[in-house]
Amino acid sequence: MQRSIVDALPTPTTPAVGLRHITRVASRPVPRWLLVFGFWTLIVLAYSTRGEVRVGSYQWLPISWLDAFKAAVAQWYPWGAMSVAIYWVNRKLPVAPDALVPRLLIHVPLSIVFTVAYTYLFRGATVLLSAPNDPNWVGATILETASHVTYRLGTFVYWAIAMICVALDYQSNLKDREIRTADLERLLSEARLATLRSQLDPHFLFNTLNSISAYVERAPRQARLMIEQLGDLLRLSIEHADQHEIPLERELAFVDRYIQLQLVRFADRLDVRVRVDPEVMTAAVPTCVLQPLVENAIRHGTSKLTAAGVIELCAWRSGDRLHVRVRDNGPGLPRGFRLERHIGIGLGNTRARLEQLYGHGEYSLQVAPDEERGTCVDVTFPYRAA
Amino acid sequence: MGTERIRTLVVDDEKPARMRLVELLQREPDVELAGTAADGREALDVLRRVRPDLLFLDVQMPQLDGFGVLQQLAPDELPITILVTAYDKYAIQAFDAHAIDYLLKPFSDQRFDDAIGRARKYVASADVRAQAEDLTAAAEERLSVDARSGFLERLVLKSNGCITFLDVVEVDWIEAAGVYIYLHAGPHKHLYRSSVTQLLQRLNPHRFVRIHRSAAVNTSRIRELQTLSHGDFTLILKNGTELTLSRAYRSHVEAWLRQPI
Repeated sequence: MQRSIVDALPTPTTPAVGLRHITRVASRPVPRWLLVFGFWTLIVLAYSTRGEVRVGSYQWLPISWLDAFKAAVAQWYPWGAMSVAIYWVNRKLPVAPDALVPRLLIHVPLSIVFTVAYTYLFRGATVLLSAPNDPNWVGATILETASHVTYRLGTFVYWAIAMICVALDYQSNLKDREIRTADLERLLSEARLATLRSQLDPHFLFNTLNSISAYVERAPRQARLMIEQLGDLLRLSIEHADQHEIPLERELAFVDRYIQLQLVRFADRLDVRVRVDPEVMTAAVPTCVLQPLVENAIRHGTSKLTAAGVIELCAWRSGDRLHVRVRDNGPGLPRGFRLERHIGIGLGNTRARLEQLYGHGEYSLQVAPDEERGTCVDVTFPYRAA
Repeated sequence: MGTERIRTLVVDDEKPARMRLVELLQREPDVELAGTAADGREALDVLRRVRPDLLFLDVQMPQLDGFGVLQQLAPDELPITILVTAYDKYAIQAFDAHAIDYLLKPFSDQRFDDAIGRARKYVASADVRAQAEDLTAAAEERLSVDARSGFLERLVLKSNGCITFLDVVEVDWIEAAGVYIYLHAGPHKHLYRSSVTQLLQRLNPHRFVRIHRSAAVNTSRIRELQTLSHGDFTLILKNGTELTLSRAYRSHVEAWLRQPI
């Protein structure tokens, strides 16, 4: 029965990137530094074959391979070293990776800085290696450098490197974003399925139907009300299908149906108090986030008690954060409970979605023993109007 | 016995569920409602005081559940019992294996009528002892299902008023015998009410693998496989027993071995 109901529902939208491709590549097959080093070495080797060096405007001197090699090293390896720095600076720029124009504008002054740095590195390398001096590539002072062909050629190389860095960064950011969207879709599907599974949670479903069955003759109106509430529960979860966030008001309507049905089952053994500030009713909350918390409270808290259980659901705003709290007075957390290790599927999914929606550090989810007895679950995230 | 009414007790932690049964029972002319209980402890209390003829017992209850209650009762304290459950795969498997009557929530009036009809026959025959054995066996088996893996760890066998426990690891191989099966454990073979398929569903598939329409084997007992003609194999157990692995079940063994044979 369970399987056929799930099949009848609309399938979740398939993520843009196939699930198989969602792997965070932590280490590439070839280390990046090796690729960079290899690339510049190729250039050095290519330049070592030139066989002659310019000593004057139109004068050329033949040189040995070794000397040509040294000259090429002095000329190109500084660029190689700086390309790493340029890449790093590009990544750290306080501009969004897809804001290309501001990025290019920032690179203009940077090009000057790097090119000047290059000339000093080049000079130093030439001296160190006692490579033949190519006057076209070095000037005595900065000003001379500025007016030389050197400078213009130097910036040309800089821009070539910088453009590659920008393109790489843009590309990698694009991929990251695709992955995050796909992740979010997947998590939302899982949350929906999990919530549906909990409405289809066999105990909840069959016992609710049994309760309805009990009232059918003796209190038909009550029975029909419960049938309507169960129908609403299923309908609301289908309607929320593609939305990541909904107004708190609607999420509460959803949870309320669930609570009403549970109250009939647990008759005098359950008391649910909902305390929500009217002003936060329009806040945007992740879909399917409250019901699993209440369900947990009932499952691990109240249903384990033979006496009356109390569950409290509160939501309030504090500054720019929205707080949601669910407390129960059940037997409490097992000894040695630690959220990291013992987090269940429902809470784990909730936390993952909060991470994706709001970002690391922008939300919090805590499970702790309540004041006197029972458990308290606190969820906090940025307050946003829906 | 004739004009006496059947005194019945209803135990369920959820009020609507109690109401449902009470209402149905009140319609039966030969049934007298002797009381209700809302949890395991209360049930034990009322049971011992009232001594009903018939008991409707919910399985899922907080703190002391239906099986816990059954475990606590001596055979002569157990009335004819119909167990009630919303959803408990392992309980139902245990019920089926021991011919326990049970009701699945939500149940229709008709299904209830069938159940109470059967209960009447039991009460009339006063064959309480046999049922008490079955109830205890089912409770023990349900409780022996490993909480994490969901696999049965222990089987309960009944013979001549005696209940014995057989650990699943001790079973060498399983052989079909009509409606029953034989559990071969060392030099003994025990009769158990189940089909090979039904029992395999409750056991760890890494530990037991089906080799034939009428046989399954404990994988740790396999010594060697010999090829026969026509794609059949002979399976030789460590204790020397020779069994046939039929072509049809070769894939089962290959799946367990994780390689083709």
